[in-house]
Amino acid sequence: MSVNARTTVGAFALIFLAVVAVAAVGGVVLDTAPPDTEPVADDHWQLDAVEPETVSEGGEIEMESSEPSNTIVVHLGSSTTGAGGGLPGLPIEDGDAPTEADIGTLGGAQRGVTPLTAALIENGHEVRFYGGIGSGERLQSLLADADAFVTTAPGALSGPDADAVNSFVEAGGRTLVASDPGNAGALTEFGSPFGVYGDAGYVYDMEHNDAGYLSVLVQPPESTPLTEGVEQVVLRGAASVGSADDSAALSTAETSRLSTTRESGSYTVAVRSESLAVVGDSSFLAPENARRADNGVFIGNLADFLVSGDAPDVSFGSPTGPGGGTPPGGGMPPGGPTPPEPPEPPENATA
Amino acid sequence: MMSSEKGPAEPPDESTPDTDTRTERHSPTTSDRVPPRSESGSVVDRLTTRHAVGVAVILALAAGLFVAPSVYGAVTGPDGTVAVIEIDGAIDSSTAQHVEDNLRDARMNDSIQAVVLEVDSGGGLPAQSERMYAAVDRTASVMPVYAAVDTLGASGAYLAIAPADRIYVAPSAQAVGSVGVAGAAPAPSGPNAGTSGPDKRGSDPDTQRERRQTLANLFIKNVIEQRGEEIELDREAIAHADAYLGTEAVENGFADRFGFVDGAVADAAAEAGIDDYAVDTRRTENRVPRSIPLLQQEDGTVVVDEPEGELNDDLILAVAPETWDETVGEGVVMTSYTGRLPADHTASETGVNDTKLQHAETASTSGGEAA
Repeated sequence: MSVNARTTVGAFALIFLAVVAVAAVGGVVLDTAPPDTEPVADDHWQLDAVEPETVSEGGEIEMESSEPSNTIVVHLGSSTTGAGGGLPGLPIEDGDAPTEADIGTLGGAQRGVTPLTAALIENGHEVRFYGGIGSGERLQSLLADADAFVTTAPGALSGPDADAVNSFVEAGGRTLVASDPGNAGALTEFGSPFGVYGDAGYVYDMEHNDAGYLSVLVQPPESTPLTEGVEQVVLRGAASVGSADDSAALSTAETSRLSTTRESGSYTVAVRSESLAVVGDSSFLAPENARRADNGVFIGNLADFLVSGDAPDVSFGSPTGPGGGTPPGGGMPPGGPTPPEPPEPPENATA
Repeated sequence: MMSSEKGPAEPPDESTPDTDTRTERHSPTTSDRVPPRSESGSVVDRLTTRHAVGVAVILALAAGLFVAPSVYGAVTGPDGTVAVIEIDGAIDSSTAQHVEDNLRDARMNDSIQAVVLEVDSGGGLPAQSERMYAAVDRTASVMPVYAAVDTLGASGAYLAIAPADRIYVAPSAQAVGSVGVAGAAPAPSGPNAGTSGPDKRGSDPDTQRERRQTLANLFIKNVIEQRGEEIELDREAIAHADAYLGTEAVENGFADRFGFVDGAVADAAAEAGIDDYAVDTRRTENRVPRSIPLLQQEDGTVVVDEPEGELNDDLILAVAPETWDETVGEGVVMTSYTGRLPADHTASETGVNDTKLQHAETASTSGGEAA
């Protein structure tokens, strides 16, 4: 009996081991591991490969003129948004209840032109802000005492105000219009007496830009007083402008395109027609952009332009035309600024 | 068993013990005794062999019947499986996990030999799109991975399927491509006594702009890396971020051919060399919000507060314009440069938007503090 049990156990163990061994060997022989996957290529993810090109930053905004004190009237359009395109819908501004942790605000409308106004004041000139026809002040009376006028929102000027500025420019008052895209209609209506117009749409450049297709790099085709010392200016969102005498102060590179036609080519974004200078962008005046590339040099030149020359001999004796009271921005896109109705248009005649 | 039964049967037979005794006592006679014993044993053996054969036949029959279905199945069953994996809706973590998990399974599972991505998505978060991109790329290195787009295969979703071996589109697909990113316009932030540093609330506008462009460049590089030879547009044209119709996409190389999921499945199976295949469809689960917060208003009414999604415009998103609203909600608009906020009469509307934005920022700030 003991022999039988030993044999039985032995046979069991032998067969069991044989079966397991066959399974093991078969598994080793037949089993195929999942195929090796290739690693995902990541060379093109390195920062060097994808970092956008940017322009340098730095420099000072300096004026060269030694003119005695001038008065410059600055008009900024809407009081709820800052000038300096590219910064619409600022998260915190005057008038909005700040969150509890805030101790200050961004600074409202005037913030967008502080580099220019700071340069003017630093050189002994006086800056007066005009807040639109609803502000209680009248532009005519401000301009009567002014040497120069700056607006970053020609579309926000009411009809009488636009007429007043027209008279001011005609009388030789230096005027800077920084007109962002979307103001082509207003700019054209305002500038046509001086041979200046605005194109609809905006200019962009996919190849040469400052970290964004809207941030075009513009250059002066030739050196003019406005662009002396300027090699490259960055505009964060520029409109094409033009003039009758084809006098471009700043032009985009050949790689840029106009949004409406998508045609590539060099587009003029700044012109000067005697005492009127027009730039198709206001963002370069904003504090964030004023020291980008040669923007500071350009701003300094504009400040010099505003304070140079004789004081204009302007009178606002002529009554407002039939179009008075309506804004010149008839060609503006929907949603554009709509200034309030002038309270007392007949007063224009008395100024 | 048979022999053990015989054992106990022997003792009653008295002659046998005698024989045994004799055998033990007279060993020389053992040889004489053996033949009769073997003769008497051969009868028993003959009987047991017959029994054993019968039992063996029955056992073999049972075993054969047991194994037969498997063998039949193995012979007639599919040679392999094509997994159809859905990429649907706004791309966030759960989308990426779904695709990643199923593609990993496809690589590990021997029976799955090809994958078809069934795509209808306008994109979402860039990093999650990249996760899927990497998973698709890895899978495509070991088996055919095809993608079939119906209406939307745009932005982040296009990034995800760019490494696929072949992209099929419906001729009426409405958005294929859209290689770019979008988010709120760069804006400065004011002084904030609640943050430990000036950039805690948000970096300066120049840095925001550069980072957005870096994300866009990553996207463009990925697409060119994967489909640079197929796409007939140059880098600048790709970077315009247009979304194409299916017919246009096949023409300009954003897609390879017209087709739908079934055609893609058949082609993928053929490419994998499996004539007889099964299809395993892995759909995204319906998204059920984990909890529906109820808010009681001052007047006693209870309203459902929509849980805030992962996607909002505080992040830079790879989303096609066609799906912007459904991705980040209608309350947040993509700020366009030329859409300068109007003055006065529409200021009230603007105020509403600002307030919403402010709330969103407050929420994100508190989240930032927690982090």
